[in-house]
Amino acid sequence: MWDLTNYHNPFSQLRNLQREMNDFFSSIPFERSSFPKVNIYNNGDEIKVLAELPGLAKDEININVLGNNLAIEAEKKESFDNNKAQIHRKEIYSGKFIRSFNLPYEIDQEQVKAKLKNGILEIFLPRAEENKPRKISVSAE
Amino acid sequence: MNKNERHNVAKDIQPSENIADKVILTPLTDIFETENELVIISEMPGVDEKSIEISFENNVILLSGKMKCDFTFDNFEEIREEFSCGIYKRSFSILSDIEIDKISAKIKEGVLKVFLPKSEKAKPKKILVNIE
Repeated sequence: MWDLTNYHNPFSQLRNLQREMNDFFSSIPFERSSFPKVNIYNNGDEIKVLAELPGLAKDEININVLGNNLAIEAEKKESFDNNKAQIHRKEIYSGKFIRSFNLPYEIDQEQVKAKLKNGILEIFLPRAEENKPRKISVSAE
Repeated sequence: MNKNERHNVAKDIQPSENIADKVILTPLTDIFETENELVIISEMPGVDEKSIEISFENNVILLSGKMKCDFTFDNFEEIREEFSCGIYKRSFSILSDIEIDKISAKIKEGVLKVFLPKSEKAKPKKILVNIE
């Protein structure tokens, strides 16, 4: 059945369909493909996150950390701002996005660091001290 | 596949084997056309700005750039991996007449913009129609 509210814009439906199909196919090697693409690494004391955020300046990106949750949020501008230009090809995503992850442990919010270089955001998330595993020595009687 | 072969495959994709030289990545691209030029915008996050090469031959433009992969992850375990290092490469055939000598490009925040000015004869001309 046609969704009448979207009927005037068949391209948006096509684009959604394409996105869903991309998500489906890329879900085989990876969990899910979304924007931005993210790599996450853990060494038990610290988590490092790499996110592909081309075309964004550092003050346009918001990083929120709460407990063991990390959220990356930004608004991406159109790649070329000219209303009169004809569009031959449009693949680059623009608009608001938010992506969040549950990390394996709680993060020390005060110690989170991030840097942005050539469109890749690197976030360092140290484990909260009170959340670190403690060694309990068992004394023999 | 026996256990040893599988081990070798896994070894092939270790960063130490320099995966960045083997994997070809397709950069997402927008192409716009204005009255005077074509603009190609390609997203190459992580690209080494010095490695970018643009060539134009037989009306085909080839954009390439190598990703700089100097992140250190010793003793880190991978939880999620959605992108890998590699070489960005993409080509487009250009139908308009282009002033090849005046092609220019700039890179910022991992986004490559290439400007291809149209030659005079490719620019639109208004032809007056006389109504009889």
